[in-house]
Amino acid sequence: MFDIKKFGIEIEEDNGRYIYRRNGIEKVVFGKKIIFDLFPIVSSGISNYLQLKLRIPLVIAPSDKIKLEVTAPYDIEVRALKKKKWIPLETIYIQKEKYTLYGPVESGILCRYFESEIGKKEDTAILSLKIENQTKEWQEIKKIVFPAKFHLYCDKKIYYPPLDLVLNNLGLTVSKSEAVKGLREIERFIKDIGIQKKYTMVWGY
Amino acid sequence: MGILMIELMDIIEEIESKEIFGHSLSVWILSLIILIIGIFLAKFFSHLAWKWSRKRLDRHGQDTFKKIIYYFIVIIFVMMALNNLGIDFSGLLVAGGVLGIVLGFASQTVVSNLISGVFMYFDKPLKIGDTVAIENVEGVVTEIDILSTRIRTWDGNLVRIPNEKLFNSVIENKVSNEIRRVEVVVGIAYKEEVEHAINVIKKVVEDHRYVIVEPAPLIFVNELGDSSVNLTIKVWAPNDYAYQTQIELLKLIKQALDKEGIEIPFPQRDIWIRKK
Repeated sequence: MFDIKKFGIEIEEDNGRYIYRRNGIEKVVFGKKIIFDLFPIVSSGISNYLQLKLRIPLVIAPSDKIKLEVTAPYDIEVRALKKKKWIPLETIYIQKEKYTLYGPVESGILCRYFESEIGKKEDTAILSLKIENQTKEWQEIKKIVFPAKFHLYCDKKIYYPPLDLVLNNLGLTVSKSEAVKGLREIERFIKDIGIQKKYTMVWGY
Repeated sequence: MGILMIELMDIIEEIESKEIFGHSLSVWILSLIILIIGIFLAKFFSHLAWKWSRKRLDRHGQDTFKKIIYYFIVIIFVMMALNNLGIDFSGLLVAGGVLGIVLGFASQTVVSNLISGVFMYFDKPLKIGDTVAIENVEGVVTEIDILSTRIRTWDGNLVRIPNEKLFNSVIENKVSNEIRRVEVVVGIAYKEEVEHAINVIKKVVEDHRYVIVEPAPLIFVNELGDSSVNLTIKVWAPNDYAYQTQIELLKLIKQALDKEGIEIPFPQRDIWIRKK
């Protein structure tokens, strides 16, 4: 999907071992017939959550449902593969690596930060949102926070699994929806076990 | 064979007849065996308790639970061994009144530490691996015992703080939150334009990956010093990267100010010599 040379990666084979080099990072991988490949992953970096700050806030009428696509970040993981087993060698950050805190200082959660826009944009993934306002008031959404440990999908572009957003008295609940048919699932590396699939934003949205 | 048996019988008889502090050697050996079995069982069961507690308790809880099981079994076997030597515990109970007062005075600090340790277990002001500052001691918590807590300071020394002292101290736990504030102070020359310097620093701060977007960074004139206008930069960074962020920010701010030709002055004093 990605060209290794585009990212300045050099791989040198030397007597049953491979030397991986990029931007001053050097690793020696031992083994024969090792494949090196690049995989897009959800941007989370040192955190477990992702916060999409909507550049233009969404205003939703009472009891209304909307569907839209927004931009979302992705990183690229360089992996060494052999017999369907792989190890990540390095993460390449496509978008600027920034973090933010969602919630108060004493109990908030650290999130990877990204300024999201409606529609599609170069070097970003596509995230489909289904938003349902179950309250009897107008609602404004400025940011979306969700656990960022799942795998992505692709055809010619990169897709997040669609997210269902429900606004009610509890707050904004974000949950992972069924993947869109026809998209190829990018091989997973993260075990799904123990990963939170639903998150309720109680500190504002 | 017969000779061997006779020799063995002689040895046993000798052991039986030999007396140490009013007890035969065989009684002493039996007591020692009871003690060894006790220690072995205590180790075995405390290990089982630790394995059981691994998925149920935190590291502090696991250690405490393991030690309680260990010492409980050891105490029982020590009492059995002493009983074998003819030490009557009912006598001890009678004398307990006087002994209790004596022991009470003697072990006041120990008991105080023990109780503080129990309170700390429930209060959980810190846990193993936390970065803490307690009075003049700053470092990482390596062990929380029932009587004391050990802290590995930044220069690698191990400091043992009795739980009683710890319980009554102001504990600054630096990793109980996800983020920590980092502060940097930079002085610029009086001739420089403050607004421009703030914008240069703001760019550095915003570009740094570990400077948190929200809570937003603060950059302001903090003091009109003797030789410089002092700017304070207050940012938040993820806990594990706070120190790294502080070091990098200082370097990057210096480089950015140099690039823009903004002077960071050194302390200076004008001296006027009076004419005679």
